[in-house]
Amino acid sequence: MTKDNLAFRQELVSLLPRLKRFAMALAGGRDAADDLLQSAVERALRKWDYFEEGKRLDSWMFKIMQNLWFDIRRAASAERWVSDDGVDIPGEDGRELVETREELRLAREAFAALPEEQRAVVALVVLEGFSYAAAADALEIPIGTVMSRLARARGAMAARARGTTVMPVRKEK
Amino acid sequence: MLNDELICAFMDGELDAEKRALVEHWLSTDKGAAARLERMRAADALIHRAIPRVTGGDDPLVAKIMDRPANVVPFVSPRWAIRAAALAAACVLGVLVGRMEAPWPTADDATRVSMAVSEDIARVLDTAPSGQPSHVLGGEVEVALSLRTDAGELCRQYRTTVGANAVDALACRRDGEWGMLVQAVATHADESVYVTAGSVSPIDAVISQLGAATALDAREEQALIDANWRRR
Repeated sequence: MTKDNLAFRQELVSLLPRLKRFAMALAGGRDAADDLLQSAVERALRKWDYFEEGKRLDSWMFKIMQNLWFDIRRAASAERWVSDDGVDIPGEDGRELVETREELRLAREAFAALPEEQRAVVALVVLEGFSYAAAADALEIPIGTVMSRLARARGAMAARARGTTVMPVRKEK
Repeated sequence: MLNDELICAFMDGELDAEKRALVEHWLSTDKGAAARLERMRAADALIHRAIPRVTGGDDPLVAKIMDRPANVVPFVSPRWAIRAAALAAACVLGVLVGRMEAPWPTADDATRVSMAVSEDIARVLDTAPSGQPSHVLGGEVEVALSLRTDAGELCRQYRTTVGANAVDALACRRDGEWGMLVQAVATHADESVYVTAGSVSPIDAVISQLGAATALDAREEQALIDANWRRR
């Protein structure tokens, strides 16, 4: 193992929690997310020589994961994003727990209803705090596409939260 | 007019000072716009709730990343990646190219016997770096990776995609020609078929029969392409 390769692996390990979260955003179910992450890690280890020093490893990994996910989705012919309800919720009060679980279920259903392209953008900008430029670079799409997907996703999530359908306010021509 | 994209850009700190001041003015004078901003913020809270932060911990991937010797294959294929190939192994959709005396050819058979690939495929295997698709046979051929076995044999795993169908294959360089050892259907329309997590793809099975195989890095691969895959 070369010194550079060791550094690459160490940084990759440090990114695992974030990569797992991104995998959850893309794949939904815990098993599918684990599989996606494992494949992405394997690909990264095989291709690490292609990673340019000085670039962001997180962006590179998100790009790999998104490409892998699209490959999987194409191969699996539109298997639906499956929401995983197996999330541990702390708390002892029974009613509060039920309400929290219900809120969580609604939140995950709303997120699952988003197109996967929107989920990827949301995961990077809203969850990861990426700038629009960084998200555009990681997902290999124009910044304008990042903006429009983000606006549509937030609009849809807001509408689901209120139980209504909201037409987005678009740019004036 | 204050549109959703502008509101999002405001929320995300993507506006310059001038535009930010303009949006703040709009928000202070337009109750509808202010309400829209609040709904977008509520959406973000919902998103954070849907996909909570993942904490670190005892992740088995850590050991895999840190312990595995650099560039060594094969590795454990995830369930969805092996689904079609494992299905192929079970249903004879995949074909091990080898002796057919036995009713079920084994991976070991395939390591000894190979079948010549077409000229188009051979050209791709001769010249294309991994990850670079080539248009041939009315479809696309992409080499996934190049390998060198302990015995010094050079092999390439590649995928041929025509329309919605894809076939993975492994070819090795023997007597100056590419010989295909194994191929397996990579895509299957019937997703109702269940394949257990422990299944192994025919490709991986054959690679493992080749002994310890090392994936070549980009420089090594390019050097072999330049040398027309002659061993040094």
